[in-house]
Amino acid sequence: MNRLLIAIRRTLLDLRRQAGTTIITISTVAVVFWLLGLLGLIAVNLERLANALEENFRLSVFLRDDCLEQCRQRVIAQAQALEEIQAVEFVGREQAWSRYRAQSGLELERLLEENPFPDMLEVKPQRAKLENLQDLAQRLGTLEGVEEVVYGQSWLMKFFRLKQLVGWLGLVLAGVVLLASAVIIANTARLLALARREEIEILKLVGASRLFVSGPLYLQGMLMGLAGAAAGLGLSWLVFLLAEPWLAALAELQPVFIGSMLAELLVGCGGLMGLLGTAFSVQRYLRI
Amino acid sequence: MYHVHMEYGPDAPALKDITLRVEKSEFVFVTGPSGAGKTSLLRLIFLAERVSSGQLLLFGRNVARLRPREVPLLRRRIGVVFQDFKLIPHLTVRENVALVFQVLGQGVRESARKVERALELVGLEHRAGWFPLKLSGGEQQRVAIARAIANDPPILLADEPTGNLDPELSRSIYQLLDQINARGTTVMVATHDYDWVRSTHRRVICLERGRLVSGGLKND
Repeated sequence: MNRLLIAIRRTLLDLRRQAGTTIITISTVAVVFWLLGLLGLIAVNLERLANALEENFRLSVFLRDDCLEQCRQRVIAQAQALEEIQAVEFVGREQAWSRYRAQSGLELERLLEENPFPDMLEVKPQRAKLENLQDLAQRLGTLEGVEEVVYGQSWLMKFFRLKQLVGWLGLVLAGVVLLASAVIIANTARLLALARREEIEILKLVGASRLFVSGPLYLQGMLMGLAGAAAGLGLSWLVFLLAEPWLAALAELQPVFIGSMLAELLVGCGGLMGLLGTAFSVQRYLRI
Repeated sequence: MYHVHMEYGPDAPALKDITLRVEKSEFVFVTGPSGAGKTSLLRLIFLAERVSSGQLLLFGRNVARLRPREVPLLRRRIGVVFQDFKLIPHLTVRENVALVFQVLGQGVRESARKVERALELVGLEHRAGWFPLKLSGGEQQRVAIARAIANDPPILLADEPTGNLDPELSRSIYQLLDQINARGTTVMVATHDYDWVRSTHRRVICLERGRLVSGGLKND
């Protein structure tokens, strides 16, 4: 316990003595974690947007005019039998027409002499199957009695591709950021160890164990990593606060900041990178 | 120490075939011209270097068989003093001496008591709150000695302890080392100061080009 307190005290004293180097390191780590935080923010909100989209998504299956009651029941049964489909709802042409007029707010009956809508089915796919919509739409389109299947495929595909890209980019950037923070802290740890070279030698002279000598160095690395990651995520949070109203208007969905668990995980990763960077760079100064 | 060889590299032998024995509570000098191997001999005893061949026994243990984590434990039983003092400039005199006890994880009160005792022994209790760079060379060396003996180690090694000091300050260090030896501590001093060596009638281990010339055993 005594030694732990001594190690913590020595760590804090050293950080204060090397305040300039410490602040520069924490700031640099903060910048890389800020980038990661921003990307995390985008990824989390894209995911939320995708979830909302998936929840409310329906394929419109328009029936041919000659597809009457018996045909309609058969199409519904065939659609329900597909495993990718969660629910099927029949919407008669009158219902579709009045729903459309209500949604648009226009007095369309003045412009159009008759109801342009055919009978249709609203098909809700299973959420997990959304990314194979093209295949599902094609299969629904081949059912007898179906005129056309509409689901806004081009923008939907683009959206899912973007989501996927952000996911991959996030992973790559997370790797780069963690590596960069380890390298930055490794360099600083080396400088701090170099500045303390004589002190380390003296500690060895008086019989200090390897742990006693290295403990404060590891603690410094870990604290710099933790502080840098926390500061970077704090900056991301500030950016989020500033951009929140604009994002809400843009996406019609209340944006959220990255979850507390993910934030804690990222800060923990910062600390871990600090430890690894220190371990990598100070070995040569610790040989007994 | 039996037929000990030590080298810094394949073509850089530092000590060749050294056989010597130092008795408990003895005071011995290690002399020889520059490059004779005096510092290497002390570094070997202090476990800062490894024996290339031969056998070195410390406190009855063969150091070649020590595991790395045992090295610091053995070092705590050996005090070391260097020509350049090796004090930490941003720590006070008291804190420099207290390092020994921090390493051991001793309680604050216990260590403060022992630090005060060590500083009294070297006559520097009134400088406890000073920083090393405010002290004279002789005082800095006394602080280094206080740190080396604070934990009552059975062995004290001193490598040119008066090398940076004028004759008057050197004499006070000689007296101090004598006092420490009188308490039962084995003292081994590497020095160029032949006047001091001759005046004390102690055993002299003489080295030349890494070889032992004389004084390896007590009756040599």
